[in-house]
Amino acid sequence: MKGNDSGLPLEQFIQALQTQLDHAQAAMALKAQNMNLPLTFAIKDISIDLRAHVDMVQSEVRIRPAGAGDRDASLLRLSLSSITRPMIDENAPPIVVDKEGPSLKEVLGEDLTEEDRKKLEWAGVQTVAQLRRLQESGADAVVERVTSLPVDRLRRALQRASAPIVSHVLPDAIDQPEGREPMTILRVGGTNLTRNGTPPRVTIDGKPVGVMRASERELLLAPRAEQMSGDLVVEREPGHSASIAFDLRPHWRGPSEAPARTRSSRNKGGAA
Amino acid sequence: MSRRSFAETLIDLADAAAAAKPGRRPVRVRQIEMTLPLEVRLDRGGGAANFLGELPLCRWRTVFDLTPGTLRIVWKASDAS
Repeated sequence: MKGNDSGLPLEQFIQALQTQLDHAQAAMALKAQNMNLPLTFAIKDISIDLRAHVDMVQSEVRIRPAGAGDRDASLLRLSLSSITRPMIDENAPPIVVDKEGPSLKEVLGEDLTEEDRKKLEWAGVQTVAQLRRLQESGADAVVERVTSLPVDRLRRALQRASAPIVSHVLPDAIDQPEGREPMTILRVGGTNLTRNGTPPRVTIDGKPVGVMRASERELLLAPRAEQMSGDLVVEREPGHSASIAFDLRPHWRGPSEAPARTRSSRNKGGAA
Repeated sequence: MSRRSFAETLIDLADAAAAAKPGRRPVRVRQIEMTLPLEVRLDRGGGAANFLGELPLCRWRTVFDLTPGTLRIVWKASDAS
């Protein structure tokens, strides 16, 4: 074998084989067309008995074809069959998409290694929401047993997965009746901002601010003029809070201008 | 020695199968099954893995030659149109 001696991950190995089959099928179809052949032969079934070494490297199954003189190689039988588009659609699992939420890697950071994350994937945990649901349903103990993840690391990961995160603060305005000035509001984006639908307690520079609407991913706040900048803290429950520093004073649209602040301005949406 | 990709080997085998042309004979081949020795290697020279596979080049193997695996393939005849 040329190049890397550690072989290929199983899925890449199969992909490499499938690519060759695709190339062959495409070339044969093209040839039949170009040469105006009345009859052609297509692959119906194919199987390969392959002498190879199967290695486990950091929770990854890797395949390495046996070299010359390798007497202790394993025998892999790969069987492939032509399948139709409906069969693919029928057997493909639905893809889990959590577009707005942070990825497992973003939230878990350094708490879990790549291998730990792979173990979670074995247990079907691919998103932060799934990990959070495990804790809520008490199934985290089962995951501990199945994945053999260290208990403290998994608990820390679960805590982090369920912790509130504030990602940004944006200004907005709501039109008011009878020609009154539009009402300035703040849109706070993030994850885990509520718990079971209960709005969090929100303060700006330590003073409470009204929460008009609250969901898992967004809060609508009704600030006063002097609350258009400062340290915004979202406290979902005691011990579970997130904060962000922002300065949106130029966006205040109300009866009076926000008072000038003595400390230096900070960028909007900057993480605390 | 440069090795061929598995796709090239398959195309040659398909050509061999296609040589069984129906002509004007009353019977025609619908399916061909082949069981062949196959030497497999992985080439990762260009970054992506390339699956190399071909029939053994030598009849008499030395200790420097791979022990071949086995390729079983079923070809099904179909109208090119």
